Amino acid sequence: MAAYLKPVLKHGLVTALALSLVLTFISPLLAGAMSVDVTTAKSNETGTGSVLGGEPTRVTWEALVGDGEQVSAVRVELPEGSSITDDSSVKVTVLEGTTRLSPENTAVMNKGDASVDVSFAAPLQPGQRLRLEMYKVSLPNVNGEVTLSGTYTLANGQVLDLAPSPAIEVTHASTAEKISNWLGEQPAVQAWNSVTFLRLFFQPELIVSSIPIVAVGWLISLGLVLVGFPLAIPIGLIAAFMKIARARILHVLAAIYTGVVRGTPLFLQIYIAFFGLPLLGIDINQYVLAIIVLAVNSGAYLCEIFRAGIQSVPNGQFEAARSLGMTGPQTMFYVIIPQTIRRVIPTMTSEFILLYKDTSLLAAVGVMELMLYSRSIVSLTGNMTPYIVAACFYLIVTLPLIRVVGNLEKRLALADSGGSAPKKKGRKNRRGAFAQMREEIAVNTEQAAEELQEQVRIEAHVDDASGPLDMDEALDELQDGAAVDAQIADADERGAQR
Amino acid sequence: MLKGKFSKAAVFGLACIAVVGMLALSACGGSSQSSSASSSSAASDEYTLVTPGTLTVATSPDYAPMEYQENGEIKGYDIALIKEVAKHLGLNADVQNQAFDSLVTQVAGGKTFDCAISAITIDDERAEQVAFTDAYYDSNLAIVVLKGSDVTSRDALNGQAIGAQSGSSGEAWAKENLKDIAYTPFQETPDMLAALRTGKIKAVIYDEPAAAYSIAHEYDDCDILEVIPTGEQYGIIVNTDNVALAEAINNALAEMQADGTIARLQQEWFGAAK
Repeated sequence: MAAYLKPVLKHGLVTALALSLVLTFISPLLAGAMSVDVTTAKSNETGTGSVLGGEPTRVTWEALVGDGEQVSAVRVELPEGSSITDDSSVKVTVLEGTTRLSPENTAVMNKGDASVDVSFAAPLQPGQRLRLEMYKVSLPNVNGEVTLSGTYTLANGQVLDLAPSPAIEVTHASTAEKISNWLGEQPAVQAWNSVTFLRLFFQPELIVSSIPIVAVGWLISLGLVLVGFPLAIPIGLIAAFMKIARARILHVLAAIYTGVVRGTPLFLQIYIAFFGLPLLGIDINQYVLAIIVLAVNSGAYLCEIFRAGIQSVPNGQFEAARSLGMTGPQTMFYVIIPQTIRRVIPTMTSEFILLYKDTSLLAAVGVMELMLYSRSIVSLTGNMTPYIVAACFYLIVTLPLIRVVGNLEKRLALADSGGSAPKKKGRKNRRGAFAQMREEIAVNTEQAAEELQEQVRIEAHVDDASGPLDMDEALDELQDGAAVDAQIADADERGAQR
Repeated sequence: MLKGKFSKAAVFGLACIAVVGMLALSACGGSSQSSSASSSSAASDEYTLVTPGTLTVATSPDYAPMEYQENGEIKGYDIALIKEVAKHLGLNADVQNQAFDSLVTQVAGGKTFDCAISAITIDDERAEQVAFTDAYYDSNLAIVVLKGSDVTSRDALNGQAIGAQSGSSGEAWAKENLKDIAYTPFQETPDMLAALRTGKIKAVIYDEPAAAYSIAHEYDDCDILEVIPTGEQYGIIVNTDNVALAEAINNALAEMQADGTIARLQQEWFGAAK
């Protein structure tokens, strides 16, 4: 660089510095300039918060008229690549503080350069807020931030630039959203949607775009019940043992637990747990709390199912096992429980189905599950289709299970009536497994009884004449597995109670 | 055997298709009927009603003072207003309780309700599904927090747990204007405020008149952090095939404005005419 330039440069730098200092000093005085303080776009991707480029959205733009300015017209320019169509509209709102004013105005949307012109008969005064809602406009299809620019005209005709607006984050459309948009353009789909009922309940575009969102809720609901139900089993078992225990205090405690839980709606229990516990200073993660509530609720019903299952085993078997010298717990685990399990599996499956459906009640307290995910789309679109999608997600779990329960019950009825299962192709294996289980139980019981019989003969000085006879009778009863399912059926009925 | 070739699943599938087909046909029939009815009624400029002689109104009565339930009775400014409108039209008003986020759908369906009044903000997107009457009340949104909350400004809401009523303009505002929030929708405002009290959510956003009322009454442990000037307006919604009803309601509203009924109702419910 030539030496003679240096002073000039130096001088220039100093001037620039001084100028910027002055500017910084003056800028508060220039704050009179109309300031754009809000620019947002409504999410147009189903269920998420994202704003998709290239798809219609609602853009909200707000600006405050600066001190000493009177604004007679505003021009807002959407970023390059945006589009305004015949469907687009703009709503103009003017506020003074929080009071809505209704000044005479004309608003024009220019399709050519994607801009909006608003002019006022009487200029806007300092401190007034102009709010524009631009419906059905598309922002550029980019991944990143976009800003709106524009100009405004003062009452004296002077045209000034608007400072760049706060940025709006725009993303590309997802696959489901693209399919959904493509579907919406198909004539067949448009014809289908022209029927009010089909549009409101079976809108194809919305089915496609809501499936990925509702699926997330489905996984959460399934997760809640898959964790909650296994937790309910030990709760139910312990309560069932307490109920049949001799100690009165245990019996009373279990009766209170099942009485209160079964006697009040789950909906109420959820409210109390979610709104009551935090006020007592117990702060638990809402999903954990949801699991606890579900487990405690289901435990009470399972308790009754288990108790009924245990008590459905004829009393003679207890007596037989005990007379064989089995201890109480031995009787329970080797004789009673194996038979109980077989009997309660259908009812337990029904209970699982009920609990899975009942996760929907958690929506009331804001646990994001299947129901709430679909409702969030319903409230966004005013369309019921996501509920239908949700129904399908419930059904893909419940329908196969209902079938399983039906089959299990049929088998149980057959086994109990002593008839052999009718042979049917392709079901042999499952039926076989069941018969095998039954045989195993019979064999185990027989073995145990024989071993004990032996022991009893040797050690317990049994009367030779009566002993073996009683044993045979007892064994007959043990292997009989007589059908006393009335209590099970009683437990079944509770499905209708809820 | 021929019969054996049809598996149960196939029969079930066919049955499903048949049922859906029938539904579609009946729906087609229904809509063509109603559209012909509406076109004829449009010609004579008469509105149709779900139940003749009665204006069947849906509302979500969890928004005092606009609409709320007291001893099983639905009350509030909106309710008083719609009853006056019905009187002007020579009809009985039958006001029924519905969830807020189902109001637009119910009225769009057109079979269950003639109209809905429930502090519904006039919005061009809702207007695609239903027709709005003229605005009858101006409102703004309010951010409500617990007294003594560590959230002290609008910016501090970013990243917090926020609640609003499902399908409300407060919900739309929260989703659009706040960043990284954990958003929870509630079906009814009392649930939303109960959750605010538990501390599970840090702030709720709903309409300023309802917010001011709840704080003045049951929820004196809450406070309005900030009023968001949105200048939104409430309108009554009717089915798009029944625009004549909207016009009739507009005429009734204009008459009520002129004869001082609206001023009287506002005095009664808000203590001041707006």
